[in-house]
Amino acid sequence: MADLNPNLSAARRGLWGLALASFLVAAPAWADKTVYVNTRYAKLRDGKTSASKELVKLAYGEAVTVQADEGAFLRVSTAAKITGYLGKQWVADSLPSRNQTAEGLGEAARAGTGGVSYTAGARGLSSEAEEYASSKADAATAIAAVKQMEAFAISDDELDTFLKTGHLGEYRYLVRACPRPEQLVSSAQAVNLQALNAKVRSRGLR
Amino acid sequence: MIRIVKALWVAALLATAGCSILPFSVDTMSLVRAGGAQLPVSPEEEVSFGGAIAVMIVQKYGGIDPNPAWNQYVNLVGQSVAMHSARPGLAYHFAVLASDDVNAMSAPGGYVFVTRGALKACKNEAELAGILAHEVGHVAAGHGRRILQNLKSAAAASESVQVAGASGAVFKASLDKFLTDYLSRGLPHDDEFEADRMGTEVAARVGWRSGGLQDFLQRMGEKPTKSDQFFATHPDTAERVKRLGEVLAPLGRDKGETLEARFTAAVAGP
Repeated sequence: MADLNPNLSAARRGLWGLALASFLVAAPAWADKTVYVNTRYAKLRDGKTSASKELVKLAYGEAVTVQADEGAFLRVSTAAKITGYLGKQWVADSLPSRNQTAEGLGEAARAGTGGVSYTAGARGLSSEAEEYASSKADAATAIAAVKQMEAFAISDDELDTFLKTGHLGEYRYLVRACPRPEQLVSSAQAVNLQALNAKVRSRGLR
Repeated sequence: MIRIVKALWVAALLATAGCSILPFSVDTMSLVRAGGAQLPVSPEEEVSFGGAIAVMIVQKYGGIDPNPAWNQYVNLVGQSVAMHSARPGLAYHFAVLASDDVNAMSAPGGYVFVTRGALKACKNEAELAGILAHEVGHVAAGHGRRILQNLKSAAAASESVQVAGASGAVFKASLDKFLTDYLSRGLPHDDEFEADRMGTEVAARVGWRSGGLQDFLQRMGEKPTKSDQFFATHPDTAERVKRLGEVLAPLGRDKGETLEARFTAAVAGP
């Protein structure tokens, strides 16, 4: 079928070409790319909201493969072939450097996942540090206090609950329970609204 | 020539001391002798230095406050900051110092402190988060680590340390100098400004009110008390508030949660 408007057709072809070119340019940025969790933990969910069901908790440094770029989220698959959604802010292009990781601090790497374990727990003062501190007067109490400080740990669940109740972190944009309409206005405003509705009805506008 | 001889002497000394447990290698020591290069500070060393500095901080500020509710709350806020920081893989530890001075400080390796005075001076969680995020910023940016690297290199090059022998003397000399120069006087001002920026950006990213740190500083600047170490270890408050204004412009100063009720319940207690 011949084009009724050759100019319009050319413009359409141009737009399609532009779209295709931008797709070709943009698509490889994420597709099949390996990215790494860049926070203490990240939750892989079955949907693109922080209220979606949690499929698995990913450890710091864990590698995932990107399947699709979906706005603020990535559809990814794990080494265990679990597919879900992850916020873009929780991943980095490269494996965290040794200086940043628990591995760099002498902790064992997380086996099997290519990730690196996070050390929130105790690691103890080094013998050098303790020896140095002990050489100072009356440092025994302070040494014990720092050891106690190191031994104190916050679990992931505690931290997650804290973030959730504060609408922080990944829960920052969680849609809050919507108030009923009558809760949205004060009693004075409600009276005004009733009066306005009555006026509208009397004029046959509704 | 003398330098090379010294390098060989130190290398021999280190080799006999057992290099596997030393925090730096003979090769890097020789490099320093020969060319004046910087000795690196490994992550293990950073934590080791930091642990010793943390003990000295705790001692200076009268110990750690025993209130378990404060400890729990400060750790929750602190870990929330740390996991969103530029260096989330490090194991951070947070504690409240038993001092009524208004101050906060950190040691390399992830040790972060806020004084009881500073905790009580906060009006909401966003302010506390801003303070802790500033300190985490120092650790994440490696400010203390960079200084220790310089001190370690200088100590390793010093003849008296070489005579005293190997790594223990370098460790001690570096720490002595760090504590003398930085524990009372604070870090270089540029580092403080950078930590202000990083802390404010992280707090905003997590979702606290972006202007939390600036609010706190502004209030502290209006009522300075001479006894507060805060003013001795940090740059001019008015300048910090002004610079934070530039950081906050794109973030939106009032965006985010203050979480005042949660803060009051945790800090004021039942």
